[in-house]
Amino acid sequence: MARESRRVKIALAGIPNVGKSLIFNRLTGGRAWVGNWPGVTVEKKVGTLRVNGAEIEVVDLPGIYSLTAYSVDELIARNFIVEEKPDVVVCIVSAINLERSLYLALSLLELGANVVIDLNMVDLAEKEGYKIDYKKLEFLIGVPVVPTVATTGRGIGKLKETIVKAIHEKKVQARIVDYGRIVEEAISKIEEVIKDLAPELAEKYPARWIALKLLEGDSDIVGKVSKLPAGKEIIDKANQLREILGKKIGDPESYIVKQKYERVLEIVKAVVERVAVPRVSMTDLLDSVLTHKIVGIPLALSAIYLLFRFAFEVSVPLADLVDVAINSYLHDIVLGIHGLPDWLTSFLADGVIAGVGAVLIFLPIIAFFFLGFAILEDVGYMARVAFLVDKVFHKFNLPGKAVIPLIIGFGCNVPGVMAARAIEDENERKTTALIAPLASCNARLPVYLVIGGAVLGASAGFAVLSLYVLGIILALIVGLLLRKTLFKGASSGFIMELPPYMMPRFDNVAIKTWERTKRFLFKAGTVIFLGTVIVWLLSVTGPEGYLGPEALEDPQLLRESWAGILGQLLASTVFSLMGWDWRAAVALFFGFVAKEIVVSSMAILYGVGEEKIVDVIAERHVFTPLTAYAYMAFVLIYVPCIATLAMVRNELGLKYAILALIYEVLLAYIVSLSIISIGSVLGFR
Amino acid sequence: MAKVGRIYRVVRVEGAGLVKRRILDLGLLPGLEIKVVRKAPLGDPIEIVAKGNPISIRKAEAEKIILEEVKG
Amino acid sequence: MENSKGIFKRYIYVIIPIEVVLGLVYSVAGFIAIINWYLGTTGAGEFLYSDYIPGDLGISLVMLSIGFLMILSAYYWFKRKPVKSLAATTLGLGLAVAAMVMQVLVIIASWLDGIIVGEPIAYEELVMGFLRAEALLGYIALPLFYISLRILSKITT
Repeated sequence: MARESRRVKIALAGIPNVGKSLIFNRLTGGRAWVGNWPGVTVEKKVGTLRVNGAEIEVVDLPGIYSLTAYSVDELIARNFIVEEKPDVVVCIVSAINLERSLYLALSLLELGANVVIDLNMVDLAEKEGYKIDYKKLEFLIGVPVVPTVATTGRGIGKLKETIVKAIHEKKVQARIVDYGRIVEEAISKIEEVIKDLAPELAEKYPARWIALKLLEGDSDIVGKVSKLPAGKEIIDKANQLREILGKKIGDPESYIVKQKYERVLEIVKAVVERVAVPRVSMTDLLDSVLTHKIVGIPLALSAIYLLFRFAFEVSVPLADLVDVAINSYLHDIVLGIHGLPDWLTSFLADGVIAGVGAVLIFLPIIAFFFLGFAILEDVGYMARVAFLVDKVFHKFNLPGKAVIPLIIGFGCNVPGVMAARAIEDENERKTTALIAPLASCNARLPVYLVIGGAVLGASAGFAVLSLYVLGIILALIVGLLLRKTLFKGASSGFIMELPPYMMPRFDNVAIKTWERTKRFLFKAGTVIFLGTVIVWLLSVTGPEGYLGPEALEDPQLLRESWAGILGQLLASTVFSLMGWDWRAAVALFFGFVAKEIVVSSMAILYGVGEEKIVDVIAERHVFTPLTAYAYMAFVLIYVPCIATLAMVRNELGLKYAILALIYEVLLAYIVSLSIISIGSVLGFR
Repeated sequence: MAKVGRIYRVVRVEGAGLVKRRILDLGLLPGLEIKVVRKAPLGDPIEIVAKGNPISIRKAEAEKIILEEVKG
Repeated sequence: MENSKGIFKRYIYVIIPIEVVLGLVYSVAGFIAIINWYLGTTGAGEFLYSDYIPGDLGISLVMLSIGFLMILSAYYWFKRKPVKSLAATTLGLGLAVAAMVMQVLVIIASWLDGIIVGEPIAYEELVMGFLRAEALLGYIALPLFYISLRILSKITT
């Protein structure tokens, strides 16, 4: 084996909420390559650790509790350890949740990994009155233990040193748990059979581990073993032993887990010293109010309202600063360059710069939103929001956590789709990512306000509110349909630890905000930019060739552009039942790029400034109240913007992006048509 | 059915697959004492505390955990 | 826990009475905000106390939640659950402070925005923003929040 030629590789493992991403950042300096694990939509983060001139690849494994075949995340982690054989697996252990952390650490050891334990959050444990004898822990489990405080950087230097040392001194502690005479006998019998009949398997995996998994009935390993030539014999032997065990100790899986936990408890008992008497738990106390049966839900809505206020209103000066800098200053500079051909000036000013502007103006809102959200998340509150609404989502075969992508979606659908990553089950995650675009994002609001304000008069406020509710109802219904058809499968339920409430840490919040904003910028930014350029192109060219930049200001000319022709075609065919003006249809076409453009393109098409558009729509009777409401509903439902579709593609693949496009346009059409037909039957106009 | 505010001991975990294993991996093992702390405002899920750690679980899943009440 | 008894004494005599009054004021202001929102969307009439209370469904929800928490806290107190009472107090006051801070941030933001866009700044309007109900009441809540947080962190882990 050409071990030397290959880059040294380490993996980070840990249960959720142990500060793993912060450790990752401390080790790699925050620079990471983010992608997906092959074949699944689980995030893979890879960075580089530089120590003493050496470069070590650091792979961040998903946050997991165990290494079973039941969850994609756990399968990813254990397959990575078995197939890629990282030189070291750093298991981040929470000093304030030692039991569950060590349970995972023992699972990693059993898999034959060369483990280094990072005992993180020792400061919090000390504050809570625990003392952990890490030297003793090291002695008991036989691998190095380094206490750290990721938030301050304490112990990180020592951790790096220990990792480097462990790369050269591999330690394997696969026999860390003694399962008792009965099970151990069964294990060694299977081990023997494996070594005899399938030596190639024993080379790849620790034979003891395979034996354990066969006794547990692990579907992945049973599948892998049965594919071997001698597979049937091994499986038969295992099943036979399982049956015998079943009679003696009950369900083997439960028994094995229990034995492992008992070993964990033994270790914990030996290394932890409680120096203080526990007082009332802050977390329990706050939960009694924050998940209170009357005030719990209004409180969650209040928190989300304040979050949106922060994102949309406090970010205004920054957004306007970008606007002024790009759309006035930069725009004027380009217009001021003499000697350029007309089309190039327009391409730069109305295409490129407008495209850059469309992305960057939105960035402050997104960044502020992510900042506020990261704080709520770090405090531990978002898990409670999921807890509060889980029942509603349960009824639609969705997990409570699906509420978070929808909440974020009210701000912007792009990060909403991104946030679906946090859902563990593959089917539930895909469903959630596909319904998140139905949350009525902030960019749709101007359309509602303009059209509602112009046509619906006094009932505009209720109409707008009803659209927000309609979005949520449709999301739930579509979610249920998807779960009953494409993404069938058992519910992963809502079994999770509720993280203890904690003060948010500045660097943790800053890193999260920065990483998410950066991803938005790169993933969504490029698409919005391209979309703006394409719309420019379709507006200034037509069947007769280049129309000139005047087309962007002259409604008559714009009518002859590709965009205008398409809009007229749409208005006279598919939208003929809706009774919408062709200009409104063209605006919908432009709205594919971003919903903000709908209002401004209507203004262009009616040949007025944006400030006059409300009056024009009202005076010229462009809409009846009924067609206006149908139009607003259409804007709500049909593709939020191409950036959202791009994010769906990025998360789930092209197939699902096309699915999203088709279902959204169809649904929009059906709902709008229903509004018009039912409305007219009821006598609305 | 478990009641809010009462303490129970886990007798065994039934069911199969992910839900069962998740329950076991979280350490909700036979012999462990748990307390049902509260219900969510809509009645489901419930929050239980085991060894000081709060865990949320849907009622349908909690039914897989066979409990006996701890007196006193 | 001798010490915490002393702490609680301060809590009942200082915070509880102010808080009950504050809770009622928040609740009333929250209701008026709903009425104003209704008046605003239907155009049925002039806003009530338009200088102080906006017609905003979101802010009304925030103020009603604060009011409810403060009254809930008093209820827990009379049910002899002082620790729960303190938790409700602290969260109610915390939300009140958050709403105030947000309002102040929004005012600062619109002032900065005026400078950036180069429009004349309506100072009078900005100053009136500091007098909006959630801001005004938030100033009162701030010191109380500090005290209750201190007490809470002393008696819990």
